[in-house]
Amino acid sequence: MNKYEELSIDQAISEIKHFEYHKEQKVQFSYLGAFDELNLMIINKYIDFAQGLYMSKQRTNLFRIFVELSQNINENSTLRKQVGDKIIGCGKLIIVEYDDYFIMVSSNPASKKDIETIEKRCAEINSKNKDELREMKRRHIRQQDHKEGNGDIGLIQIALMSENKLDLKTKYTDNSKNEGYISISVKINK
Amino acid sequence: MQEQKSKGFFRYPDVNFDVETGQCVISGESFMEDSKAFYSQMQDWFIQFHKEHKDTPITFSIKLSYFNTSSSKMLFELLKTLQDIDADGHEVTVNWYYDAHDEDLEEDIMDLSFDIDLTINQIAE
Repeated sequence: MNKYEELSIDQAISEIKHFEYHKEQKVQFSYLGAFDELNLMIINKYIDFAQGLYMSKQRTNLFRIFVELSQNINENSTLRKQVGDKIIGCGKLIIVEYDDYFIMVSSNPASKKDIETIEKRCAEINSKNKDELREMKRRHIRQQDHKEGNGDIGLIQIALMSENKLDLKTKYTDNSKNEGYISISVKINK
Repeated sequence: MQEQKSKGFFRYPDVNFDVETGQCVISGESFMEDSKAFYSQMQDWFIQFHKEHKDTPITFSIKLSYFNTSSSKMLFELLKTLQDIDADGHEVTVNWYYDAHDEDLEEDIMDLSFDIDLTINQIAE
């Protein structure tokens, strides 16, 4: 068994050199870097034990949304890092706690094409109710073109799990608008 | 033909496919990114088993407490493969287990099973 499975949350956090805490701002968790296997494991451990969420429905939702957001970063981020024999996407993940809900935010640099695709997809997702989203998800699952990763379905699943609209922010960083940033905020009710 | 067996580890489920009995079980959590590579092996195994052991019924038990959207696409492909095998006269049963309190998982299973022409028993525990 990998040693990281045995870590307590305090031990796991102490292994992380580049995590930041902003307790005074109610940012419970902040991570900037590659979403590789090891860091995913550590973030997973954090979500398992943070704020006494273990075994709760909020933990389940936070964890599942985290998985989809991290996969989005890994697929779409134009900032890549080699970890072992894999090229991993890099980005930022923040969890902020409020009285009645959490906000999970993922952000990463992206190409113009991906920005446009995600803008269009989020607008479509936010226009649909739950039943329509499930139908949309079923339709996408049944498409023949199965590219690797969560492709079209991850954002739909996030919207279904959070039961709130996706809050998408995009920004182009150069005048030719070839590159920019994507930030997706997801509200998870307590 | 050999059994298909692998021990699960973070993001990967346990896999236990018995070539003697046709009992096939995946259990744990499934949220790897390279889901196609992982699940294709199972797909190939079912196809080979159908060629070599057509008289042995297949019972595929899915005991995943969580699967991500990448896995769900491949699980759907697995069900389609089993549907084709079943249509070709090889007896196939799917037993899909889930936590009775996990409504999201129950809905995901229903969405994947939707319009699959196969006996899929959804079993709440």
